[in-house]
Amino acid sequence: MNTQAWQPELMENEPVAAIHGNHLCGIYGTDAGRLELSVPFLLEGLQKGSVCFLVAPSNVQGDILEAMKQKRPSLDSDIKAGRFIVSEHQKSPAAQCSFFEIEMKKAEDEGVESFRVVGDMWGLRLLVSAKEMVELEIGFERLIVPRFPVVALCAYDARKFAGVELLDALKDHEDTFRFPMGRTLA
Amino acid sequence: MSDANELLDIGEAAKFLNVSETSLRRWTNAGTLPCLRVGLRRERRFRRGDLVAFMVNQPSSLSRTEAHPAPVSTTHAPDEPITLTHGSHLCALYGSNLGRVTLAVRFLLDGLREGSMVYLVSSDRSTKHILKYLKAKRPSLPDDIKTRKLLFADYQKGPRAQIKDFERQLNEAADAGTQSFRVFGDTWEMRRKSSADGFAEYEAAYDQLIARRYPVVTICAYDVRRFSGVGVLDALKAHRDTFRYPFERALA
Repeated sequence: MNTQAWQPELMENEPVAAIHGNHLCGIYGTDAGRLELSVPFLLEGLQKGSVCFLVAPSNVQGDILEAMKQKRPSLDSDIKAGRFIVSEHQKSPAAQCSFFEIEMKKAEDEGVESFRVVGDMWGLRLLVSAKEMVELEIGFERLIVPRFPVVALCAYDARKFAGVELLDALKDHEDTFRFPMGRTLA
Repeated sequence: MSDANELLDIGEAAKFLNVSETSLRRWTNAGTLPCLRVGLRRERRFRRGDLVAFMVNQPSSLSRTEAHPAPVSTTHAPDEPITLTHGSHLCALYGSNLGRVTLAVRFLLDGLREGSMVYLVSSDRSTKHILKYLKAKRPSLPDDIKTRKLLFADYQKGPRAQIKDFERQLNEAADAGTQSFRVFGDTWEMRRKSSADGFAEYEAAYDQLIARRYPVVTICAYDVRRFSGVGVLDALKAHRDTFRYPFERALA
């Protein structure tokens, strides 16, 4: 009576970032989970020659950088050479989008062909309202994703965001459902 | 150009409806909202009149969660069934009562149409709400209830009792010749009756003793207004099958 389950492109053996234009939502429930999501994603990007962005509060940056350095001792030179850009969130959605545009345009002009972004979203939520969070997601989707060969992972801390906010986040990141569940939950 | 025929691009339309562009893309892909495609890049353009008509059929104040793809009225719910394999144990998230109805009605209706026995486990109030919309789509519903093609009940007092109830109902139906089942459970009602650990044990026991043992497809529906962020994350992790299906079927 039942036929095969409908299956999207599960990309079981492909890295999460196989398709440019993906705008994914990751959810974590522990500090270790945050590292599980972000560190392999960024390391892989650097290994492939992508310019990577980490946008997070400074304490979160510290944890992620320390974990990355254990696997990639040359990380400081990546940062110095502009291959890995680490910053806190800008003060508004418009400023944040503008930041990405400027940096990515500059890198493209220098020959960079791909980008990865990890954004730890609680850092933004501390600065702006829930409505402005939506504006940033729309702005990123509209201004950045179509224009640049980028894969973005918006990481949501389940300990901080309410259930309703996580549902909204998932709805805003439909690409997330194209990948096996284990890639985006930690 | 008249006001109604004015064309808005996707950004302007999103602002007009106060929804996300992602929602607009979803609705146009689903055929729920008309749009034109213009230019070499086939960019979407929306007639203002179409947006107004669409808005009229929506609740007057759309929260961000309600603005996303769950249709307001189940008469607009997409009827296209998706195929689900036995043993699938999915998690669905909703943020409004109508979202719950949308998820339940579509799933149960597909099950009844394919000849499955369907079992709705929810509070009395939610059940009444769901049955009302189900009946609007399926006038023969009273017969389905009479012939036990559709069962409904509140959750039992605890996880063990609930598992036993499922076993009993499914075994009885199987003995009577039923070959496939669907279960829709509104999980807050079980969560209310148990501790956090007890609820986690219930989900694990359901997966092992029911979902994987019977020819059943299950949706565990989570009200995100009740569950915390961590509760939602745990729900998603406990239902690995969820990401194998279109996300519109899991979020409302």
